[in-house]
Amino acid sequence: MSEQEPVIGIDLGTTNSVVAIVQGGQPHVIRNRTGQSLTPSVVAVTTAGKRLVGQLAKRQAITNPENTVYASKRLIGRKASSDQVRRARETLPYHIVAGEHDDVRVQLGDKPVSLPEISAAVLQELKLDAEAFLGRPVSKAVVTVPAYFNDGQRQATKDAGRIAGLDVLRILNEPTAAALAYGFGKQVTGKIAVFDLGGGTLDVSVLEVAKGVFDVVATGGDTYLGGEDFDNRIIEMLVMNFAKEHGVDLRKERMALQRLKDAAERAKIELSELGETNINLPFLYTPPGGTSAIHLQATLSRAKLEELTQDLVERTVGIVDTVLNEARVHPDELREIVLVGGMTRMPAVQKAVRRHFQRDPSKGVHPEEVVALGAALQADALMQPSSQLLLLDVTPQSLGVAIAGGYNRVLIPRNTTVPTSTTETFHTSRDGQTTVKIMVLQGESELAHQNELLGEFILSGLRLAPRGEVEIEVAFEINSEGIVSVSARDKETGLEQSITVTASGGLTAEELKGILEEQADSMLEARISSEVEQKRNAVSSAAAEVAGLIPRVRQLTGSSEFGREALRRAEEVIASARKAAQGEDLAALTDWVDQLERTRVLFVGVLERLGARPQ
Amino acid sequence: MPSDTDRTQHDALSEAVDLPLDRKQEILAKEAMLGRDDWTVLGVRPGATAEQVKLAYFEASRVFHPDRYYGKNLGSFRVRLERIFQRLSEAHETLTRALRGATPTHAATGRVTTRATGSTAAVDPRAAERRARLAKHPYLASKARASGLVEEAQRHLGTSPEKALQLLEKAKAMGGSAAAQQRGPQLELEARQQLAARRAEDEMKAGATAASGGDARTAARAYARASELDPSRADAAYEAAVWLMRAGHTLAEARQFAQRAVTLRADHLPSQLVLAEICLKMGMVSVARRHLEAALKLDPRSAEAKSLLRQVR
Repeated sequence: MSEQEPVIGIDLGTTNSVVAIVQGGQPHVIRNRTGQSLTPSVVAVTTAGKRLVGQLAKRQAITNPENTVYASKRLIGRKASSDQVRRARETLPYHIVAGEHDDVRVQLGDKPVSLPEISAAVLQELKLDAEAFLGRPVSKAVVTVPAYFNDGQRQATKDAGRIAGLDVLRILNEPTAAALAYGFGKQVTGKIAVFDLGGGTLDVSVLEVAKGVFDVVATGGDTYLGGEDFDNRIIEMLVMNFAKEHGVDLRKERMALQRLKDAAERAKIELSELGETNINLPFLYTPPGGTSAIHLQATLSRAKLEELTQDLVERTVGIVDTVLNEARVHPDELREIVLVGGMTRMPAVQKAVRRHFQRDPSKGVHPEEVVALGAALQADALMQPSSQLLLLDVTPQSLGVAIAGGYNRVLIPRNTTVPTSTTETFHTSRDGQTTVKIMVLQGESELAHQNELLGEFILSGLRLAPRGEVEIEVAFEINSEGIVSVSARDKETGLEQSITVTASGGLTAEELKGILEEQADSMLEARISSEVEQKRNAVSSAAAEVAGLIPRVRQLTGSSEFGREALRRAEEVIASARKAAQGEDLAALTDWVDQLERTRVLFVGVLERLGARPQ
Repeated sequence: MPSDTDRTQHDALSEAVDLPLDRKQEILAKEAMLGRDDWTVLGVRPGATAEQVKLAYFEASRVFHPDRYYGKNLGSFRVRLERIFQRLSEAHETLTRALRGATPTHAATGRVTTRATGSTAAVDPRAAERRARLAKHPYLASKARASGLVEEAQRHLGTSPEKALQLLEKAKAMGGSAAAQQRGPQLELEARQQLAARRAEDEMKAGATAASGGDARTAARAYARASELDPSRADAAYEAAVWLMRAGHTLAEARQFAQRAVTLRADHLPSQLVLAEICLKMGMVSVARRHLEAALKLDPRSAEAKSLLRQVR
């Protein structure tokens, strides 16, 4: 079993990310190089053009706000023209630009970078931490996403994995992962609800658990409701007060905004423990014309924070109601309520949950680590055929097609257990029509345009016939990770129809290929600087050791034919190995280390047998 | 066209994929029965409880969910598994919905509605009067009588299920209020289950008498009927499996009962053993091994399990 390739679980969060692995049947969180389990999901490019990820990137955010990307998870897989992105643009200090096909890019230094590439940087960092911990390469992972992520967002996350050099075995829903970790090792039977309020999203899932099978009954949430929204309320208040007092709008000051953001987050976290906290931001604003700088000093109480965010807390509870209703589960039927995500540390949130369910939510899971642990468990379950654990997940949003009049016709309703598929027959509506366009939608609205457009599929090359005579059967499939695929077939001729997919906000296939090729070069370089360096050192020290043994071996065996031959070969090996140590061929280096080791073992054996102890 | 089916099945059996032969057989057998009713597809008897339906669904998912074969070369079996699993979850969904017709969720909504109508009456005093007038209408009057019959049926439930069924039959013919229509089918199901449970008890007794008299055939038939009548009786399923095997019946039939016995009582050692023994005789080696391992977990010293396991290896 230990020979099997390690597979990691990654919780790619809005504010922080975590990596975990199952070892010896137990899931563990892998700490990063700074010894922490949480790695900030922050990517930056310094003025010198150096890329920073995680804690290092977060630390320099204040001095480099325009080239520091955080909360990128809110943008991944979205369209640049969408409302959500437009809103984000106003509050985020970095520059969001539109890509060629309405995808979102971030201007970093002199080049626009796609969102999957930014997430890939975080994934790569976690991959390296895992490799350092395990001492061997890692190339497979299960990555979690909010349950409410649509197909585009899932695809984009998968792309990010590929760019990071990870084969993403499965995209897993975060609340489901949390439930897996919660239920692991306990004989849980019954219905449980997971309330996952993280940095950017709220997910609520209801599961039915028995004998190691985790059956998701319903899931729902809001991809734009999380800790960042709570922070923004504090920022808004501080900005308003500052404007009243000094007549200055801080929202236009990117650096000030970044400092406000940090301070707001810190204050919010402190208020989970304390009744009151101070916000001190000296020299926050320097007016043009050299007058002295203005400081910001404020006191914030827990009561005030709760007042500012009351409607947000109410919204979270409202979403819980919707999901329970859909699951046709009465709150009394729930065995447990599991709280996940850093935001559930906030007393007001806990209170609202307690009031709503009329009971204490379950303790005993680490709200920030539990999702990564669940991802690791699912990774392990997929790789081990003997695993007891089986997950039956659902599709979070309905899948449909646009029909005449601008309406949405649902083909696969949300909360259908995946994998699932359905077929729909389309007819031509004009005589001699040779193409049919199908718009695939994801969402719950009756109106087509209010749903997410996953893609437009154009069936072309239909045979010429009077209208209505050509019947095209289109199969829609959702696989185990919620990713959609579509295929079509002419019903009469049985011919497969070609399908053209227009880009839907993510990267096109060619773009991804381009990035991967570009990345392959730079990743090779990165490897050379670490792995090759290690092997080179190993070659030189092994060569030195063998060289050190040669004089004594010559003294004892140099007179024999065998001894002379062995010594000559040893010297050859040392010379060649030292030459190879100048190069970068990893395989060759590994080979020379092995050869040197064999020679060393031989010499040490000879010396021992002849009674001379090696030094 | 059975010959066609046979041929495709034969082709599939010889297909080079990462699946043992008996698992292939199991998949093909399941696939062949997907067109049947939801109960059969899930492998439970009509009248099973929501809990039994769920457990059967979970048990079947362990075998047929594509994730159980992640990363394996499955060839045509991938599509088969996906089709089977989708059908299993549809069957589970449909049955669960039907069986939970009158569960807490609905009871709760019911409560809310009553309260809502109550408050409307308070607001509009004419509403009560209008309702009273309407109740005298012959159509509505018969509905009210039907509701009365349903209530009476409920009282008979437990003491005389036959009587309850008769009353419900009458109520159905009359229509009845929405509430009674909702409650009716649930009561009917309960009454039928009670009736079946009683008959099952009689069959169990008949089975025991035949068994002690050495009449394996009659015992097997009686126990099998008992298990059919009350699919939640683990003892009936177990005895049926044992005696069907002893009486030399088809193994496939015996296996169904053994499987049911294990599903109902996974911690019952003899059930695990009899299922393993039947599977072994049918050549389903890996299934047999699974159950023998489960048996050894229950009792690591079981000599029978050990000797059967030796046969497997």
